[in-house]
Amino acid sequence: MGNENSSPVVRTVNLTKVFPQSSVRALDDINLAVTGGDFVCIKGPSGSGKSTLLNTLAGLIDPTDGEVWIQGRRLQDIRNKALFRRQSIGFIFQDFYLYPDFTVLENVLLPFIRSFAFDGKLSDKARRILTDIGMGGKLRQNVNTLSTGERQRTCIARAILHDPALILADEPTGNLDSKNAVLTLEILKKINTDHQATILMVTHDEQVMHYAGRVIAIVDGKTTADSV
Amino acid sequence: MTFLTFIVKDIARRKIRFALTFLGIAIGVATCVVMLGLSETIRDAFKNAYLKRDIDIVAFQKDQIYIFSSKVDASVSVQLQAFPEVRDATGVLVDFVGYQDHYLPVYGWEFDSPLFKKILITQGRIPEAGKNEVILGDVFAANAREKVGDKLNIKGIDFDIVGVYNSESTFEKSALIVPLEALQALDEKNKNAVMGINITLKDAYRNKGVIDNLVQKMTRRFPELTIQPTDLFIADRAKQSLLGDKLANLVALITLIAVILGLANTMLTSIFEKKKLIGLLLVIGWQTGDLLKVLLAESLFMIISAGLAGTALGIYATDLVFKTMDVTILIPSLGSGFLIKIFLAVFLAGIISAIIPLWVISKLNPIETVKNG
Repeated sequence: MGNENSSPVVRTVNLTKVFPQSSVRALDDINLAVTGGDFVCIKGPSGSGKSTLLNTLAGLIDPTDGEVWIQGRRLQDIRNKALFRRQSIGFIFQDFYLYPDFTVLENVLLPFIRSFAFDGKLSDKARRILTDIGMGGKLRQNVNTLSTGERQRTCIARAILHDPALILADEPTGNLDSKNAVLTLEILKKINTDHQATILMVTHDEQVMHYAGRVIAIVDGKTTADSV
Repeated sequence: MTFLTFIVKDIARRKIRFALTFLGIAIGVATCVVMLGLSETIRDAFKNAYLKRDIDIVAFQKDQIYIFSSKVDASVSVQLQAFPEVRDATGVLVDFVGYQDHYLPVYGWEFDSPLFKKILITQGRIPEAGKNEVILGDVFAANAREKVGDKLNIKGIDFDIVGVYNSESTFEKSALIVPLEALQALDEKNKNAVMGINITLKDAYRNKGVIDNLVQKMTRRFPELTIQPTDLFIADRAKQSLLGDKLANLVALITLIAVILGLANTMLTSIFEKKKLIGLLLVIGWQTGDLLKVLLAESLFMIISAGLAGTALGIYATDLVFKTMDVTILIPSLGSGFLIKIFLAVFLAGIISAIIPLWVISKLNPIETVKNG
């Protein structure tokens, strides 16, 4: 995190994705630049291409045409995209995707297991982050026993542990009640403000968009509005 | 949190499945240990009884399938001794006597037999020629609680127990040794007979070429005998063991294949079950190599832990098998070499069983898997 300069963390050039099965243009010539420290909300109806855009930015989907640049690196040139994701991207999902029967702390550390050796520093950092977001008392608790709000906070801690250049959040409040949704958004806003983290959040909830500094609308794979 | 924590916790999530797989592998490995252990013990016993005693050539009655049925005139050993290459030609007689509820092998050795130098007298002394004296194998002495100074009745005759010995040969650990003529006198059919003759050559002649030539020369001279170099003799005896080597190997191989398929199936089921979670790991930055490493380690962890338990179970079962045999000829001897071979086979099985699951994982698309499972 901490992209204080104004050079774009994310840049797309004529980004296009056509799924061969359906011939649908899920992304249609998208040109986008997101500056470091931005909190950007991508809105659009279901099937508009929001999630496809997020997955393409993460290198999980290869574009049919165009380019994606993250922190000045052309994504198509990165051979080991899994390693790139681990180093540069944090994910927050609507369905949390926590590893069942593992503790909160273990789930936060999960993406960063590199060997059979224990990384004490990373573990300490995870404890600090979890404590900061109100999960300090639940470090050893099995994630199966958490409330949905606590699960999402665990997911946020996992996403920011490695100070990623970019945090991608796919409908992070979609499965939360209003109280937990607000709490989650406030945490994201605080991360964005305190650490200058660049956040791209997909949502169709109008209330959620108020937390973002910029809103990009997508319809049928095309950006139709970009407002600050 | 390390890969090891992940593996252990991941396995612990499916306790019943792990327990069943563990049990299946352990029983499979135990079966391999028993099957291979029986033939290993028998082969090992012959090796220790002959090769480690510097015996180069063995002579016994022709056309006898089982060595214990062989009868050779004892005077032949004197004639074989006359060959200039021969250092020792010593007759050995083996008979079986009833002891409590089973049969016990009794060896008759010539008083001056070099075989006495190959056993270790742990108590007392060796028997004297012409006397009804017996020495006891240490395993028999311990099990039967017989001791030096007591008398032991062999086929109606009281023998003085004059010593206890330790032998490298499992044939002899649970047996008795008496003077040759004393054993011959116990049964009319053994009069002036030995079971076979063990021949040791002078050092200068102890090479394969000389041994093969001498075997041919001796066979021409004694056509009523089968005369073999010791390694060939041992190989032939191993073939006649209770369960032939080939049968034992075949059963062990089939069992090992069943273990591999069982483990591969368990791992595949586990992968399909948690496909969504595997997809998640790939999305959040695990590399396919990380997953393969974990899966391989999980497979090896499971098969090695179950393999160790199976080996222990197999050793215990082998011991039981030998204990239930009516004739206490052998006690199991599963050496470190044998156990290392079993461990390597189990290790290899772990790797092979992970191949198909590894291939399935390597083909997974992260986003499709996390979405659709």
